[in-house]
Amino acid sequence: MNKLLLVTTALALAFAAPAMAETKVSFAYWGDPAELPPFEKIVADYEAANPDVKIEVQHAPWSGYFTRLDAQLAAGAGPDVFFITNVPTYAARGQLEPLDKWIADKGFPIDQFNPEALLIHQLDDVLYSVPRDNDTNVLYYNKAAFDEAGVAYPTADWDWAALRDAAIKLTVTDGGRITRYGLAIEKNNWSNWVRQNGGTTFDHPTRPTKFTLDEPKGLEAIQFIGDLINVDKVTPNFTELDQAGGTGQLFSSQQAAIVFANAARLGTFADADFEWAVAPLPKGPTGIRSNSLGGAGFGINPNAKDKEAAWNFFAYLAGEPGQVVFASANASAVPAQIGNAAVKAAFKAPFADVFLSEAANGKLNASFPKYVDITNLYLQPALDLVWNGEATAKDAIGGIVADVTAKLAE
Amino acid sequence: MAWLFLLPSLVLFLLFTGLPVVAALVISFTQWDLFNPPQFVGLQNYTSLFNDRIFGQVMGNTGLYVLASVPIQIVLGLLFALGLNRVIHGKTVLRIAYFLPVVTSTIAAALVWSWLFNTNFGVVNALLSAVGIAEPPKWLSSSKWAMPAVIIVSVWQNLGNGMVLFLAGLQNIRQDVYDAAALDAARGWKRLWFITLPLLSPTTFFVLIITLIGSFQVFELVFIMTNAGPANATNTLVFYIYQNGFQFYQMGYASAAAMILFAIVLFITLVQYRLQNRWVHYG
Repeated sequence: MNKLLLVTTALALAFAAPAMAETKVSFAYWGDPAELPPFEKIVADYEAANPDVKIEVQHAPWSGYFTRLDAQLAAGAGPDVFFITNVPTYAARGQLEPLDKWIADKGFPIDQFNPEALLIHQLDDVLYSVPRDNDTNVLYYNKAAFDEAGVAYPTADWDWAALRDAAIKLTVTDGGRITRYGLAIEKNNWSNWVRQNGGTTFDHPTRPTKFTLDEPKGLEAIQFIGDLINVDKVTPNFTELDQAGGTGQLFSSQQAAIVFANAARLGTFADADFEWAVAPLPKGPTGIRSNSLGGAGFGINPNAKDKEAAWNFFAYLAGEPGQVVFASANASAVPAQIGNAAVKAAFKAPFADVFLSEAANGKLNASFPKYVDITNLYLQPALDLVWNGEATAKDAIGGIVADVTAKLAE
Repeated sequence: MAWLFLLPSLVLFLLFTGLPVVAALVISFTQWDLFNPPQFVGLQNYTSLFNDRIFGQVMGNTGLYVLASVPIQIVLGLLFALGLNRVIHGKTVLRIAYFLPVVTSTIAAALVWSWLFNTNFGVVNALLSAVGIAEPPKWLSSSKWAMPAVIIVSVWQNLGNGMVLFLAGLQNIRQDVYDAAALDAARGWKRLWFITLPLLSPTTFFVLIITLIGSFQVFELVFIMTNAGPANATNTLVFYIYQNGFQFYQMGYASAAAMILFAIVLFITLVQYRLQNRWVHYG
């Protein structure tokens, strides 16, 4: 009997010992290969500074990230700290730790972040995540393609008409097949075009009461994109763009002369074997400049086993040390903690001036709990019809006003 | 004693099939987002489904898919089986070739097919323009042509299944029946119509039921090729159940839709069983 007790105790100790020596914090994030080094560096630096903490990393590409995260969270598990977007949706489900008390208790420098950019990380005035960066888009252009087509390089004075004109000249067709598109844009950036045209999608980005995309300015912008795809045929339709690997792939393989994309592409294009440069986004027909404000952020799981440890890593990741690493990375993004001198100084990306000036034009995209449903059920299907040239913006968007209005009122 | 031997599979069936079906029925009367406790709402999910415009479209899409894909699969499967049941050169190679898509991973096949269907650089449209079609369909980016594209791939993929079953059925028909028919001067079409098809009917019945049930459950092809788009043109019942359950987290609504799928499949299968006396001949 004594022997048995001894063996059991020894076994229990053997299993318990490592767990006592180390605190484990799991951390999930998404990103293209070119975007991963800063995440890896932050984890390595943190572990070096805190030898008793082990960060367990879960990485997935964007396309698979949320399927897994949702399943984990639904099971009451999931990573302790995670990269997140659509914050109000997750906050409404109780899957994000409210941060205000932590920030107050621990003195996290939240005042160094743009307060407007924080709005999409809140639900009912409570902060649930801290943004990593600004999803500022710029215009990337292939210099060789411009030279070949005899088109002058884009300037800060470009408007939609200049863009369209250049895109037409830059498009190359070979036997009915387009071998190079003048312009490739991303599917989820249409709302910025709406703003550049002086329109809105909802009357308020985070507390909407009315769907406003069906007003003339909004419809005009949607139709303009649809016409670039279907009438001018200078922009790939989004199904095709997906199959071709997105704007990054299309630009790298010189199958698109201009792409609108964020600073993460600086890393993707760093190895391109042709000359390229960056310019501000064109202004709308009446001279309005707009860009996306705010980006994805980091949140804490309310079910984290060791919340104190999770917060400590979170504060490092979302605060100055992490921000400096992200800002100075090759595939960097306009940092979120822009009120911090060290962070601002670390942002030395190529064309940093263009990114910073465009970030100043940032305006919020719609972000509220029902937005995911509204997009999936109504907006996306209606926009598909316009992008595929099967309906005008007026008919397609006009057809969903009643549905979206009803959903907003629910 | 018999029960004892049945026990292992019975327990597994009850645990992993029976229980979830009953649970889904119960969930379908609730409003449940997975994260908060479910709330009983009676028949509300069912009444909302019947007023849901997208659900109507989804039912139409599923119906179109089933009505197009099932007959084509069965007729082609039978024709290929008849062709390959004869003594022809290289029939083993051909049988393997037609069966290969069945064992190919759906995800991989769907990905390759979506490339083939690409409007700008896809092989399908390159061939169509080569034979002089000036404005070939936009396939997966057209709400008119996306469903036909999915149906084409489903036929390509499932043809081998029916074919192999029909081949087995054909080889079960006794030679002396054909010999007797030959004495009565039944050949060609007559032989096919009066001997082969009636004697093959148990196989046909089986293939029909299996193909129908499988078709109502189409999911992976849609998920990979079109993600239910464009504009919900290829959104099918199982995809819509998935979407409501795992994208919108409306488990009750998704379960109600699943119950409707269950009822449809059950009804069609029962009707088939009732009607089989009229056309299925067992030996």
